[in-house]
Formats: sequence, structure tokens, C-alpha cells
Amino acid sequence: MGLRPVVELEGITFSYPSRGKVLDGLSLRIMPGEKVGITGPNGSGKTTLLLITVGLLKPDSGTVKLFGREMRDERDFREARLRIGFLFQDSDDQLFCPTVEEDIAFGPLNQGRSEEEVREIVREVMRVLGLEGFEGRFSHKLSYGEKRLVALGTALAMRPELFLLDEPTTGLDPDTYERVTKILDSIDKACCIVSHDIGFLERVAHRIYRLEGGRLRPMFI
Amino acid sequence: MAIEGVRSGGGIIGQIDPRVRLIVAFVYSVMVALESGPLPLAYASALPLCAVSAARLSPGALLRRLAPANLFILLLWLILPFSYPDRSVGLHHALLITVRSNLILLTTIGLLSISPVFQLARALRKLRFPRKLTQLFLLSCRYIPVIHDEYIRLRNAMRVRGFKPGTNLHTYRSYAYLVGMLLLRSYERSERIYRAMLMRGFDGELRTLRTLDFSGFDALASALLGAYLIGMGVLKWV
Repeated sequence: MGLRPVVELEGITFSYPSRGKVLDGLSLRIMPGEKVGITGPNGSGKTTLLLITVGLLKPDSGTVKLFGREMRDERDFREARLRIGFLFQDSDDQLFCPTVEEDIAFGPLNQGRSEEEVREIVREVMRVLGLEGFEGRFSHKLSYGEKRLVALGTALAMRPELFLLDEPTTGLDPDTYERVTKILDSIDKACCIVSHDIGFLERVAHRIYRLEGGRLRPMFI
Repeated sequence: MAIEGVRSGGGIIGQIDPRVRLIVAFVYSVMVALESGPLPLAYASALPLCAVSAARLSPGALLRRLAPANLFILLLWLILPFSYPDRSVGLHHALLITVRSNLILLTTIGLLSISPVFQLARALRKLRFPRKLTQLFLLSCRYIPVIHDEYIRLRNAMRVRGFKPGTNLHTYRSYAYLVGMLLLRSYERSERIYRAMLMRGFDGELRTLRTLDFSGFDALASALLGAYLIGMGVLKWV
């Protein structure tokens, strides 16, 4: 075990009514523990690719396999999502609870974990993020960098087997940037990281692709 | 913004089970809204005065919260006296509305605004309040400030390009664009939030970390508040 791919995308095609075809027969495979970086111009479909992977967008054609199982309908995806940590581009979308603690606890509670376990997870996540004492703070009053960290925390809190991260370092100050890079470097799960920051991807990813013309092209590092 | 503007821990009132506070605030509001005698209203002012002073809210914040409602009531003072043949009847109505509204507002502020929104939402759910309305309440509290920020950003973007509001078509059109853009952005944001919630396993039920326990202290508080409300009823019917 452990050798079947965590993510397997085959021949994914997707078009937006207003933008035309963004993905054109795209394929991608991510093995356990492997970190894949994806870069590419604005509007090339990087976020779309992540959303298709978790079933929040339906591809026009192609198959999505997660954890070795083909995802056929919403029910399959719902189950798989509980094993995935997703970081959205805009933290204000991700942090919807009034307080930091409730936000970190939201995912684990949905996974059906016990209250004590969730408390332990919240403590642990706050420690990893270096945000001890932030539990009772109001999400919308945090600084941009703090919001990014907490949003990453909501993904970490689910103890996922796969991370999908959409521009985790964009707009961070050097200190927070360094903190996020270290956290991501220490993750030993499969990751798919979308970023414009090649330097960052070179530090954390094993493989880097460029998304262009609807397909992934390997980049040399 | 407004939601936790006057929060300050809440003192002893904040210790009372939020379910009790919700029920009391609700029953109290209905009773005050139906009350018109001076004596019962004087009796009714005891609860908001105690609640607000026990919550140790800053007077400035308190006034800021009362201001919008009273601005609206001010309009009634200007209109009502002229809506009745006998001017004093209109004035009496205006006075009554002013007293009732402020009592209800102060009670709500004193009893409820001291709690974190999540706690109130949880209490609402425990009281079998519909799930969708609870979520609506919760998400409004969280996102009204975000939409407000967005409004400020858009307005600033208009200002830096020299926009000066006036009484002309250009102004109306620009404001229409502003409102339209806010609606559009809010709609798109709601979709993104929903996706983010789905990604963390959201299935329609809000699960929360702290459970509510009904303690001996809560029983005592309910008994006292219940007796107080019964007193109000007695005063009304005697």
C-alpha cells in the first residue's frame, strides 16, 4: 500500500462560458508524500484545476481519481473532501466563523472527532502556526498575514492526507513568508501548491509544472 | 463592527446560560411592546438598567448603538403629532414608542450583545430555532463587516478618481454601479465561502466546540428573571 497515487487526473477538459476552454486534456498524478508545484499565467486555470480535483467544479470530460477511487458523484467527493486540506486564495472566504478557535475547530468537528480531540487539535495547530493566544480573536479583525496563517491552520486541523494550496505565500511579509514555507516544508503529505513564486516552489516542491494552453508542462529545477 | 462593538465580557449577566437570556429577552420584548401604563413601564425599566449596568458597557458605545433607532423615532415625533386631530394623542403615541423601543433595545444589548455570536447561534439551535435562520444570522454577523469594507474600498476607488456626489445623473449612475457591484461581489463571495465550507466537510449542521450546561446558577437566574416577568404580567392585569 501507500504506492497508489493520491490524485489521478486523466484527460480533464473544462471551459467557462465567458472564457472558453481553460483546461484541455490535462493529466496529473500525485503520489503519497509528493509535493507538486503548479505555476502559470493569470487566468490559465490553476484555481480551476484545484476546484475540479475536489469536485467543486465538474469537468466537461475526463476522470478524477482520489485516494485510488474514481469520483463519480457528489457523494464520493463529500467523503474524499474530509481527507483533503484546501487553502483558498482569499482568506476572508475561508474564515467564516467569528473567532479563530471556532474556525480551526469547524473542519475537525465535521469529521466527527470528539470535543477533547478537537480541542487538542486547536491547541496543536495554534502552536504550529505560532499563534498561541489567538483562539478568541475575531477572524475579521486579524491582519492579512494572520488571516493567511489561520486559513492554513483550518486546513492543517483536518489532518488531511492531501493538501491543495492556492497561492499560500502571496502578499506575505518576509517573516510570515518564512513561517509558511517552514510549515509546508515540514508537511510529509501529498501537496499540490499553486503559486507564482517560483523561488518558493523550488524550496518546497519536488516537481514543478507550468499550466499553459490547458495542459501541464514540466519545468526544470 | 456593530456586532461585538460593545462586548466587554459581560460580567455576571454573561455567566447566565444564553438560552435563558434569549427567552427572557424575547418574552420581555413582547410584553413591553404590549404595555402602555406608566407604572408597568417604570417597573419594566428595571431589567434593562440592571442588565446594562451589570454588563459594564461603555456609555459612548451604548449611545452609538441607540442612536440609529432613535434617529428613526425622531421622525415619528415630527410626523405623529400631526397625524391625529388631537395633537396630544400623537405626542403620547410618540412618547410611548420611544420608551418601549429603548427599553427593548437596552435589554437586548444588556442581555445578548455581551455574548459571542457563535454562542448565541448555538443557543438558538438548542432552542430548536430553524437551522437555516441560525446560519443566516451567523453568516450575516461575520460578513456584514466584510461587505462594509468592500463598500469602503469601492467608494475610495471612486474618490481617488475625483468623484464628488451631487444631484445629477452621473452621481445616480455611479451609486447604482456601486450598489450593483457590491451585490455582485457579495453573491460571488457567498459562493466561494460555501465552497470553502464544503471543503471542510460542511453538511448543513453547524457543530460547535462548547456544549451548553444548565447549572445551578442558571436555575437561580431563570427563577429570578421568571419572577420578574411574572411581576410585569401581574402589573399589567391588575
